[in-house]
Amino acid sequence: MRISIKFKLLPIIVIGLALLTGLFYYAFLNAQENIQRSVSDDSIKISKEMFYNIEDNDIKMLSSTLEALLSNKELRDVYLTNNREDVYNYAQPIYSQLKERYGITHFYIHYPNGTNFIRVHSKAQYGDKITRKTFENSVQTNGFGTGLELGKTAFALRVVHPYYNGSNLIGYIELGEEIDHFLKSMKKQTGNEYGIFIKKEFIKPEDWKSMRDSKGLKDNYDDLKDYVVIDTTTESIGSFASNEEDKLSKVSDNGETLNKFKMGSNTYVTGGFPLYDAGGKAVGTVVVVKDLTPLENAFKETSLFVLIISIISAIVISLVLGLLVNKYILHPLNNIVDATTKVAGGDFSAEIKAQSNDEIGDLAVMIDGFKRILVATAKDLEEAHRKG
Amino acid sequence: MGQLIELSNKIDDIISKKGMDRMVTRGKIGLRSGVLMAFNEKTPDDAEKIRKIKEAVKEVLGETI
Repeated sequence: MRISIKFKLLPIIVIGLALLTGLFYYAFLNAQENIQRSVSDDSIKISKEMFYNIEDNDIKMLSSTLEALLSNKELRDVYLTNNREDVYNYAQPIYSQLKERYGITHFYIHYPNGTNFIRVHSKAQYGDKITRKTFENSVQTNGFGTGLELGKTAFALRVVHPYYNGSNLIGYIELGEEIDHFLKSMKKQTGNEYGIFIKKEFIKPEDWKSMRDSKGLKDNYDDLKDYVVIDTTTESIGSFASNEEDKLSKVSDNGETLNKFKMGSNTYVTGGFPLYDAGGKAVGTVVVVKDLTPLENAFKETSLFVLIISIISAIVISLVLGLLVNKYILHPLNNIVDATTKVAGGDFSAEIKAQSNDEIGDLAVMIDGFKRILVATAKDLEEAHRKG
Repeated sequence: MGQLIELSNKIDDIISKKGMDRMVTRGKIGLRSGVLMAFNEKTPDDAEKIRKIKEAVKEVLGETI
């Protein structure tokens, strides 16, 4: 059965273009995945920078406040009387102002040996030995000891500094704040949800239950296998990260994306960065949940557009290739076939023209040469018959 | 002498009745039969050529001469 070159080439062109279109579309989808991952990685990186920037700024604020207290002569004089009640009466109004204005929630004065003299924020509790890393750092450096420290159920940002009367060390003053505003501030700026996941080894279940009970909240200590969420911007953070719990302890220092998942019609990506206390110990992970739904929806629209454009392009390219094959190959070949057939039919005037300067043109020139030889031979034979 | 030209004329009649391109159709018959379809009254008869042309006519035009 005779099949035109056109129909032999057509499937090759169509399949080739379909493959190219598919590859192009696959590359586009792949690029989308990479962009989403990049957006997610950036979001985690920015969140980490934001977290530590807030910490730095708050340390500066606490340090400058502490310096003001250290240079307060009246406070020093009252403290030197060693009368806890008088110190409380003097310091309590200052603490109230600091709490209201700057969110400072802890105000301590310790003896030089590390025994607590007074907690202005909790007057009834005193006399215990302070062993926190920030205090140790202040003792060792004879300067500021700063950093995040995990208490029984929450983190606090602490700043400690030696307290001098002239050149005599008379104690240490410590200020601190709870860090629940860190995540709120980060959420406000990024729109992401956050959670601080602390390893269970650092939180006792009874302490956690007691704190939750005191706030009228359900004891969620066992919601996760190895972590307790001590602070979050959304109560559903546990369900966001529960599938990735095993990865939480392995997130790199720079932070990394953990998983992309769907919940209802929304698409989220989770990631995190490690959280270190003032002693440099990795006590948990700050989990970041980014809603990728707007980006995903934009990609879906673009994907559809790209797919349609790819298909239209493939069809147009097929048509153009078909026309080019027709013009440069099939049409000249058909002309040669027609002219050759006419010559065989006795029409010696039929012209076999070279229409192009290429292989097909060469073929036309060659066949035209054969035609001339054939015609001349036929005329010679006829002449010979006539004479003979 | 004259059988080939007579055959040629009959072929032309059939082509004409069918409304086909004369030279292209004759060319196809010539290419099928291997005979150059250029005859005149003096072209010598050749039984083999005539047989081949008739076979080609049947193939190309679907008619028996």
